[in-house]
Amino acid sequence: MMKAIKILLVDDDIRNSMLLKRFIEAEGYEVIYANNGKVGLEMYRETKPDLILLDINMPELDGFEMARIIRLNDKRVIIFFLTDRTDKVDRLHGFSLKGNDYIPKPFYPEELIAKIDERFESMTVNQDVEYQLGNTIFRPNLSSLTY
Amino acid sequence: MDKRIKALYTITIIAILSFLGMQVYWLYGRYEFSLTEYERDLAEQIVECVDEYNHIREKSSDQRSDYLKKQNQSDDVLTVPTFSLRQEYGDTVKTTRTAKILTYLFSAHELLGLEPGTPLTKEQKDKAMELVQTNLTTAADSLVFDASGAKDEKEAWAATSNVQIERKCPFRVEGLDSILTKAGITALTTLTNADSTVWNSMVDYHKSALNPTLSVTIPYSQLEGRIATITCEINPFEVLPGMWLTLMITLAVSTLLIVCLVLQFSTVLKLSRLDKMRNSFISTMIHELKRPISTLKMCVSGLDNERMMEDAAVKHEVLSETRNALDNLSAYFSKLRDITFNNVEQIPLNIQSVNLHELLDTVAAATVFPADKSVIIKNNISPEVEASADRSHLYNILNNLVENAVKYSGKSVEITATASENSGNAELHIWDNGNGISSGDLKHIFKRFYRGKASAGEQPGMGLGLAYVKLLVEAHGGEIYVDSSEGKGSCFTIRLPQ
Repeated sequence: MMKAIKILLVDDDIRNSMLLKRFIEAEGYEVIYANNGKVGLEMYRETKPDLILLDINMPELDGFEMARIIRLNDKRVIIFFLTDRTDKVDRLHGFSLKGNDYIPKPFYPEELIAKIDERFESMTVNQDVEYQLGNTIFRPNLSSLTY
Repeated sequence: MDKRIKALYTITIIAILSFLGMQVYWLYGRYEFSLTEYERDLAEQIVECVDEYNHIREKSSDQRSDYLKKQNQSDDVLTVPTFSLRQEYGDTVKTTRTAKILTYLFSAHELLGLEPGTPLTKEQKDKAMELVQTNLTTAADSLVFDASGAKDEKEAWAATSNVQIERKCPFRVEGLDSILTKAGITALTTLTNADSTVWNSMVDYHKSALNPTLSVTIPYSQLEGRIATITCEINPFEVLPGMWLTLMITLAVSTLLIVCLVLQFSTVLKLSRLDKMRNSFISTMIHELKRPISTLKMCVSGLDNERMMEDAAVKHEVLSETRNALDNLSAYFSKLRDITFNNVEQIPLNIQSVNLHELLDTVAAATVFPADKSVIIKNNISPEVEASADRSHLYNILNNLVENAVKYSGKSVEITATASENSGNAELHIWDNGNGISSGDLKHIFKRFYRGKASAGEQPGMGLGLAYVKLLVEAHGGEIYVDSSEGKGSCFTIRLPQ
């Protein structure tokens, strides 16, 4: 079994975040939660997540600023902005800070999970996965093809 | 500031300044005109005074003219002046006039064959004149003047006569001054001799409007070039009374127009501010409404997820969040409904006796505080204090105040509530140790859509909370006040009828 993918969720809306956390965890990801940008930045340094789900409007340190600080040293981590600030200017600003996606709120958690899955498809493939076409079975992790 | 409002501001300032400039220019023109009119009147009066003086001189010289006693002569030696005017017409139209004044010395008594010293009767004097005219021989004195500048013969004769008058009764400054003073004119008179003959009077109007001086030059003996210059200093305030009405009307109209412009501009500014506040309210409202919708979307997905629904605890959580989100939405809508009422009478009230201590306990128990803040609510309200109010509205009032106290504060929040009864009213005080309100924000916090400068960017909200609270308190016939100092905390006082 591969090491679980770590996702850092930074949003000041605790109630919604707790629900979202449940959904993402149900898909097998590890979720760390921070309720503002400042705490989020500390958590990022501590946990080195693979993906950051980042709200923009937050007290203390907003999402754009947090993304800017992270991108100074880390070009690898994936950043998704989750926000109801859906102006073109905000979206472009999000992408200019090298955000990987910009997901407007409110969204169905399935949409978000589908996007996360897409990013980590190759990494989440484990030995339990098999694809069947008629009598032919393909097991990618074992590099086996049974027919 | 909006570009258009900035332009309007600039145009308003330019319009006011141009209007004032125009008014000043116009008033200056009016003043110049009034001053010239005043000077013209004054010049006329001066000329009249000089004419009067000349008339007096003429009269007094007439009395002595025919038989003037010559100095250093015996009583019966008299002088008789004779005037002559020769006009020569050349080839051109131009006329050359020469005024000649001849003086003859003779003795009337000798001519009439009387004893020297005998008084002469009028008939005797006339007879002597006649004899002089017919027996003229050599003139004792002869004066010749060029009178070509005179416009006609009459003027030349008058000028010749003036020379004679001047000889008999010279022009004196004191003489003219006494007449000017009688006419109420204070002036400085100087007598000068011009190099050439001066025929016409001249008026020099003011050169400076601030310190105006009028100068009138009058020749009193044209042929000899003798002129009197009368100079008058004019006090501008003597001119102004003629302009009072104009000044008053101008001032009133200018003030009215400027007030109009300033009012128009301030209204535009106020409307634009209101518009900005409304826009910000709408965007905040959308933001606030998105939260429960977001929760609901998540809950619906949760209900659709069989795996999650198998867990009873998760199912319970999802359902409870759904209810919460729906409650939030309906609370928003009732708040929006109430706040959009134009007057407080329209708000339906279900008045009953409400125990304040108990109600605050309910509010404190039901409010969910942020996990990162420690909130202590000290309910020091006496258990017997009651107010006549709509319980649900009063709940909303307390809930808003408590939520605000927590929202705008540090990590450790202490809220103290006290109440007292005062002449048929219940007075409720809610104290907090929060951020306090700046004096600039203090007078605006009860306005709809207004958000304090410190909180506008950081805290979610529609700028309706306190406006809503005030509206509800007023709907109950009550009053609300706030006392706050920045950095120390605030105290809201609500007075409700019992």
